[in-house]
Amino acid sequence: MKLNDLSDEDLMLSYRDGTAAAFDVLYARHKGGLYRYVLRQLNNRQEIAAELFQDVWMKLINARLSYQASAKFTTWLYHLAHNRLVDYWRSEKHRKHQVEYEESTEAQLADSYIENHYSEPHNELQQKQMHQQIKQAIAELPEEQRSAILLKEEAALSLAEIAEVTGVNRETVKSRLRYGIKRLRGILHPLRSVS
Amino acid sequence: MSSNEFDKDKNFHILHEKYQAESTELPPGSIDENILQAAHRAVEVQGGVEKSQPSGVFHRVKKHPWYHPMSYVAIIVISLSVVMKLAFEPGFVESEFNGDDFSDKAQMQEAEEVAIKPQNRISQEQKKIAKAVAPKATKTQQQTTASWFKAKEKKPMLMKPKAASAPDVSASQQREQKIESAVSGAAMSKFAEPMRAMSQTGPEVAADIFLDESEPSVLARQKISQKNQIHKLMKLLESRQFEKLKLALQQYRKDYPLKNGVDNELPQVLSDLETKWQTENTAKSLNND
Repeated sequence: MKLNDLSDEDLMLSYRDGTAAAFDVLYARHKGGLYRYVLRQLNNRQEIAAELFQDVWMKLINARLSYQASAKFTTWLYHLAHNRLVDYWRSEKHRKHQVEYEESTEAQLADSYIENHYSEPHNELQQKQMHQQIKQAIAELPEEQRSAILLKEEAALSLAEIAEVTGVNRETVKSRLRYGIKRLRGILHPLRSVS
Repeated sequence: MSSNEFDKDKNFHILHEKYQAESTELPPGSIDENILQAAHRAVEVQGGVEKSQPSGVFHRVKKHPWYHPMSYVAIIVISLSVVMKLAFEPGFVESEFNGDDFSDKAQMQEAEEVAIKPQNRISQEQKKIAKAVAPKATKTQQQTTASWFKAKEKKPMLMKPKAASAPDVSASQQREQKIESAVSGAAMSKFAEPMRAMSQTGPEVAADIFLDESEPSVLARQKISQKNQIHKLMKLLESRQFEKLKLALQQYRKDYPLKNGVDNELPQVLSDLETKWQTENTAKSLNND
């Protein structure tokens, strides 16, 4: 059986037992989702996101021997990421970053608008603007709601799995998702019109 | 609303589609390399010995907090300062010295030597410095010093001699009592009296008092040391090592010069030998001249 056909859990077990190639497959499968999850949680600040992303994988490598097959790999991976983010938020002054984010997002939007307005077709510009708006809207969500939505979007976790990762019960996750979507609804009207 | 219901939600569906369409960010290539290399190295290390941490270049070195080395330094400094303080404390070494603990005389003498050496060294160094710095005391100052010692002798002792009430006390015990009483008295007034003298008469007198060899604790230590030397001299005499004895006697006399031409501590036999050798030496030198 090829490594690519194995499930995440089997790959992780294989890596735990000393097959380095299993990690390569595992990493290729999850690097995008995890990176974006961390990136969005950090308001699209790429440098910090890259650092934390690397930390999460290093932690996974170091803790490989303690991995149990009973745990779903994705849940474990995102649990590590969630904990790392919580540590980061605790160590940093979140409010300061919020201000930085607002400034940087505005600057990004302005740059993006100026750059794209004259050079690209109208439809492409609209698409980019919308994506920027989605990212901005997600970034503006409260941490818990943002986390729940991103875990669903990037990791495709179920409610129970999100609950496990974030350390709350299933109902709380459901509530956070509902409120998160409600808050995002404001930006959905233009998206609908485009779609 | 279950997870599936979320998926069926029209708003969520549109959001999901749009989000997924544009979400293509990937980690930088350098990060990929770092992680993959670290993962491979970890497995290589694991091959021989089960290790939980990779030893690769990209493995983060644990940062030692600044307070770890700081605390080590603090511990060393505090320990040293305590040891130094105790070493210079007049009553410390002697307070631990107890003749009863030693059944053997030789053992006791060794212990006495160990206890005395640093103090003698210090007093000699102090003496040198004081002699270099302070001018000689005037007669009135010397009188002040002498009167201070007289007054001091009358002061009550801090520690009572253990065998004070015992009717039969051996010579060694008596000696120990003398030492103990002298030292305990000195511990109380070692610094207080010089300070008082300084305020009353000036720094020169204070220095004299502080460094005066007739001060009880210094005197006691000197006596012990002197007795040890005499003991060694007697042993040399007993073993009939006269050449060594001659040299040792010369050294003894350098350390303990005669006071008013008399040395009450030196046994008569040694005193006679010393006189004899001195006479011989004088005769020799005269012949040479």
